[in-house]
Amino acid sequence: MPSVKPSAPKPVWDELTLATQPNPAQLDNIKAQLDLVLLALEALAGIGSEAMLQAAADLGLTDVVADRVSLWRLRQSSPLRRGQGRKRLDVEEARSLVLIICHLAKQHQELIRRAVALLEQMTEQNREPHTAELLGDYLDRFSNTYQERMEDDEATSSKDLTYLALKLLIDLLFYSAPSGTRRLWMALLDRSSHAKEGMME
Amino acid sequence: MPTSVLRRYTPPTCTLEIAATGSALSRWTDRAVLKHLRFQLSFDDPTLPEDSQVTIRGDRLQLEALWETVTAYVQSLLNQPAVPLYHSGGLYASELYASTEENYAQLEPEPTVLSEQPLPTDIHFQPRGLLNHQLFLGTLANERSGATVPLSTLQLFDLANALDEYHNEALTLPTLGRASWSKSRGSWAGIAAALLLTVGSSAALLRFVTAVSSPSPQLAASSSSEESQARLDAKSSARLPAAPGLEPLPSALTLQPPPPPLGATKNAAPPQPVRLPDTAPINPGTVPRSAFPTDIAPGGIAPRSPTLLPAPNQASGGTVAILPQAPLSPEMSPENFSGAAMPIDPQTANSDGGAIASLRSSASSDAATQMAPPIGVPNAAAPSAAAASGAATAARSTAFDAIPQVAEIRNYFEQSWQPPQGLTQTLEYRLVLNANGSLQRIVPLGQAAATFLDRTNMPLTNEAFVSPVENGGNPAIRLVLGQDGKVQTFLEQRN
Repeated sequence: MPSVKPSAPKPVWDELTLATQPNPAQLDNIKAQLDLVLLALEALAGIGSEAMLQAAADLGLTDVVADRVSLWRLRQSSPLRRGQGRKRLDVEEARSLVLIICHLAKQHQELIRRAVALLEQMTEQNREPHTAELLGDYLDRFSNTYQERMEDDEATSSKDLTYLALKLLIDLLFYSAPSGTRRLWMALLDRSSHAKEGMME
Repeated sequence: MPTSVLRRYTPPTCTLEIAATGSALSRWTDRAVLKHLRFQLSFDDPTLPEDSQVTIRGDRLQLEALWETVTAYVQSLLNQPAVPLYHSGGLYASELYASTEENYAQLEPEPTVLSEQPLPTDIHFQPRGLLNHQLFLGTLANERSGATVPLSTLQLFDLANALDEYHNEALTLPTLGRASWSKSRGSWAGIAAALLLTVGSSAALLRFVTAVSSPSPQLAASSSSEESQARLDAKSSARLPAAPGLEPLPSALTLQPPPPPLGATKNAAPPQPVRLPDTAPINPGTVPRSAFPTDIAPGGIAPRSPTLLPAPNQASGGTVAILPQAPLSPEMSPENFSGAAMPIDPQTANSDGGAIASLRSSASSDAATQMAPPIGVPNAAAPSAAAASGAATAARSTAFDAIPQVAEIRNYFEQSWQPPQGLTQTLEYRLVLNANGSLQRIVPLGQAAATFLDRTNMPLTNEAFVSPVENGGNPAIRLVLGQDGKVQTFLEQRN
């Protein structure tokens, strides 16, 4: 029999297709979600713009994400962000960010897995997640960065932020799998299809 | 024992083992093709003693159902917005998912897949807070497992990955509603191989009739496309054993096959003798007849040959591709799996698609040559003239334009199909026509087909498309759009 090496599905650009062009509200929602997932990666794995640009280069996406400025502009396009003059994020850029995120999540899968295992353990023992060092650091960094970068929203309690961070951590685990890009893309589209202005706040 | 192969997926918290019978179709694909698939899934929960570990077993349909369910459930979890649904409660309280019913709307797997083949299992999930998940086993439940299995997020993650990995390697038949030849190269090679193998076999049979005085062992002589030939390396192939006292023909070229059907000629490389896999010995004594419904005996020829026209309405004819690793351990042998056996009986196989046709053709070659080559071949070489000419006629009539709409649809897409840049696999659709020739239903086969549907220039349903169907009915036609711009259509079902 032919010996065929099972190949994990590559993060294929073409998996990330759209049935219809998202409307501006949906694109806003997608931007916000992508920025948050990247924020979680940053907070957990200490990933900075250098690593993100490297990932872009690895994936041949330098056309879209060429340098720090373009990366910053992409991320700044999140409607949750402070500041004005947001760039419009187009679908191609969203796809690029999806590929970059999953590439990075895959690189850091072990760490993500360890964090989720720890979270399961703490929950089982009825202990607060932040008392475990890895999770505590993650939650702190996530909250601090969130508050630093995002529009100050009184409604975002620290409890909400903790939930958000942990939910993103679990999501990241699934995005780190070979099928991660498809999962993330579908989640973005699904969530944005229910999006109304300001849903993410 | 039929050839058995085993695939094992071992993420940290579960073990998925696949046992199946190897199919002769394997050599035409770039994946191993398996039949009679059984699976065994053990959840390795480190917190439980070994004798409390849950193991479930089942057949291919159940495994597919499990994959569908897990995939849809994971996606539904990810689709949850990353904002708390419940502000005042604990983070992990089950109240977080109080609106579970709502979530279930999203748990349903892709309707494009399921509408065609409702899966007769009752496998589903229920979330238990953010980190725990209850898997309801449905028909997979057994005495020891109970009705449900609690899974942590990590266990769910591992299970999803194991199933994904299996799924990515699985080559299922079109009847399951998934791209059967999802590897493009394998796809065209498979189609061409199916056509040409039949032609070759028929030609061989003709020759046996016309030259009975010197029966040839080259019964399974065949042609293949350049693509498939390129993949037939020495390892995956074996030479036909020569019958004692007979000079094997140097090449099937001498057989002068009848003109191959339309569409096959383009790909036809000079016919080559089929070389059989030497890695899959089949013990003649135990090959179940049902596995080779078409073994070459005079009576078997007539019903076999015309079946290139696919009409998939049975799920049980499926084959699944798994990388062979090791022979089955006794407890993994198909008989010991609790799921219902799924032999491919001739009836079922007859109604299957192009892939099964090539499976059956090649299976017959194997059966004839591997079971008892020196004796079996001469036996097979004496079919009645009627059977042989019937086979030859059938081979010629397997051009897939059995009804004019098949060609009309092909023409339409040959005009309009522009593969999107970067498309790496073929897209397959099942098109069900209304009697007036408009589209009644479009069933994308596989994820890629679904996502690319908007790029195919597919006409809208119920809008004028092709000519009305003679005598009414709702023929189902398979449309295969290659990433290289090729278009193929096949009649799957007349009504």
